[in-house]
Amino acid sequence: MSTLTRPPRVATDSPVRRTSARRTGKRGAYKGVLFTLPFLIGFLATYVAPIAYAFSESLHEKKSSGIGFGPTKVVYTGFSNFAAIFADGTFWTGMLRTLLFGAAQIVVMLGISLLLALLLDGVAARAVRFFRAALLVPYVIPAVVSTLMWLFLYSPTASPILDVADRAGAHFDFFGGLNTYLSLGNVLTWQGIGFNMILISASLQALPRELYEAARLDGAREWRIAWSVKVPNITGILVLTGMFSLIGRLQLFAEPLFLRYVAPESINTDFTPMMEIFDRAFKAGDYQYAAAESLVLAVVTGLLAFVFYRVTNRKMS
Amino acid sequence: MSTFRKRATAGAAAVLSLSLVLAACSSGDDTSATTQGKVQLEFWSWTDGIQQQVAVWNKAHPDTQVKYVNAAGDTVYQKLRAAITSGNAPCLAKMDGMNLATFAADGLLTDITKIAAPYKSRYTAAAWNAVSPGGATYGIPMGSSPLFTAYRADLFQKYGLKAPTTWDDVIAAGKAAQRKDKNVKIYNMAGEDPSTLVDLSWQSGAQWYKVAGDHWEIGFTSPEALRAGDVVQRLVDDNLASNASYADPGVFKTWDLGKTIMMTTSTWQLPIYDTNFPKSKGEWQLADAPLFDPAKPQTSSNFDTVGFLKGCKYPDRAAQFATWMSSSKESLTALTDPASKSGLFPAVKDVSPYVDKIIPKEMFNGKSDSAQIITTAASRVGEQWQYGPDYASMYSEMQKQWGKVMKKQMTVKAMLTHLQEWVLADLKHKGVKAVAAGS
Repeated sequence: MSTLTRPPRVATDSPVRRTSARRTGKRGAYKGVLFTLPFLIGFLATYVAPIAYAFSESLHEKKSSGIGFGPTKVVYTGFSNFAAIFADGTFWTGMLRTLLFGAAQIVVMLGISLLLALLLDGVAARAVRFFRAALLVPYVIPAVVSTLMWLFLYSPTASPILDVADRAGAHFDFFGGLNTYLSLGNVLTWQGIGFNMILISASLQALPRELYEAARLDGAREWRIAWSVKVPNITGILVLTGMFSLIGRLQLFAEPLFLRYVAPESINTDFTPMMEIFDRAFKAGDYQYAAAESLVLAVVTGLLAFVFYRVTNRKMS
Repeated sequence: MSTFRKRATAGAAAVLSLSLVLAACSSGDDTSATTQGKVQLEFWSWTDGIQQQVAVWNKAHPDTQVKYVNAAGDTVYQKLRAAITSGNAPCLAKMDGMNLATFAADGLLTDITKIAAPYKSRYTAAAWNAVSPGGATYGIPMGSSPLFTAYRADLFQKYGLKAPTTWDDVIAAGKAAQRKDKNVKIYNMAGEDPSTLVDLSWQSGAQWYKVAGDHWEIGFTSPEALRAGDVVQRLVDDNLASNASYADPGVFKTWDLGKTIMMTTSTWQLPIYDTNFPKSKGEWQLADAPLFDPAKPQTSSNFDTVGFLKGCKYPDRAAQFATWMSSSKESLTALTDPASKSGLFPAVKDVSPYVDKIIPKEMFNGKSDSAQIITTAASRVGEQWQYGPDYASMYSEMQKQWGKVMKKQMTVKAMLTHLQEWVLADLKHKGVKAVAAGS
């Protein structure tokens, strides 16, 4: 580092050089902006503009008059939608439900992913390639398709599992109470293990092999190497996958929406915040309130991701 | 890990929600002027067989050419809203009664009261109510689905039951059947679908929404509404109903395997029964829908309508087409032919010429007059039912509570009391005048 910064510091002694350096710097920055333009345009058009639009909508409400048929007016009502959301029990219940469920499910999923990655790290390279590809299959299948597949397996009327169980005299239900969460968690874990395992596995591959050799010379066994050498060196990727998963869980939508097809009593329309937003916008037709809810969800997700990152980072260092 | 896809789904949904937000609308222009010359208008529908009828119409009416657009899919109403907002909406679109009311409440339809008046006498009063929420007409009825009963005659005999006449009979029959086999259910109520309660309330003569001059009277807790709720409550309390979701891919097995032995059904479902009841084909029999009051027999019906969207330039011509399609003998004869696969049942006053063909060939045991029962159902649809301006949001609220009722976490009465307050508060918030019925 220091060797690199030293020459420019010497160069500042020359006024000519300094100006030219600045000019190229400016031109460089200008060019840089040009290069990022395609991204910037896309970012502004697909992220910033919709968010700004959502924000503007969230400050309005639709009002009717008379007996409520005929033209409506969209009027500015300030933060009244947000005030209503803060008092909206179903929204926050959904949020809390999703968070608690996500916390449990993410730990299980990442635990299994880590275990599989560690096991893979110990076997021969050819086997690694095979298992990696095999375990990635659930991730490659679109979420909707795999959820539909599970939906058939869980269906109270069409499930082959329940059919076999029924014939054997056992009666149980995949939904209701804790079962709802176990069934949903199973789908999400099944979908997520492979991808997380790949990330963790890649991280393990990047560790210098000398570390293990040193540990082995010190008399450590494989499990000890895994726990005391490998895991502490890949906490970065564990935090990252944890954070991605957390964000994903807060935005949980397609899986419960589909499982609702076979378990409407157990998975209500306000089961997750995203489902509630969807229902508000497209079933009840209250776009303004839904826009406000989306923004609140985005802020909560951002805050939680930030806190999660800070806390886990502090722990690591 | 599927975070990326999840975020993509979420993102897509968010973008969708943003792009569909409605701008303030203004309409109400005078649309009674007669259109001259050649015009073309667009019609969105997703009913099989309609496209062929459009072609027949176009051949005979060179001055009013209809462009048919097949707009199938769950998102059709969202697409329509987006099309209206961006100014390229079709003139006509198929809608159900609830969405017609919601679109009208959002100012997205054209008031065709004057234009439609000459056609009113062709349709049943209940059908005309469905296109005239709040009194003004926004569409033309397209089809009806009057409710009647279908039951497993073989199993009714096995358990020693008679076809029920009233809802009290249904409950008594349900209990009697369970004395013979404790696992058998008389009825099904899906956890996602509060339409059972809508139908019962409609049949009992309740009026959740009622226009009274310049305001609404809200009656979720009227004696009639509570009477309907009580039937649901007894079915739940005594475990007389199964809870198969209508979205469940295996839902038909519930009846086909004889776990549930009776259902209320309608005309649009008849064409699918021959294929969906492979085991119980030929064991079924129809009966009139259960009643609340035999002295005042009422059933209920959903209605398909043709909505006239905001910005429709030639509503007079559009009305000529729509009424031809849904009330002329020529069109109805073709549409009620099973070959058209439309599943459509007319909303006109005399349905008798069209009934015979829609009856499935293999489903029934032939011991009751199916045609007579369907005609009776069509003739006794309650004429009091009205859709309020916030019906869709009320329905979404009711759906949340309905799941809890089915899980016995809440009583029907508590749900209705909640809805009564919820609707009054919601309408007040939206600037609509409403009072509690009977106050």
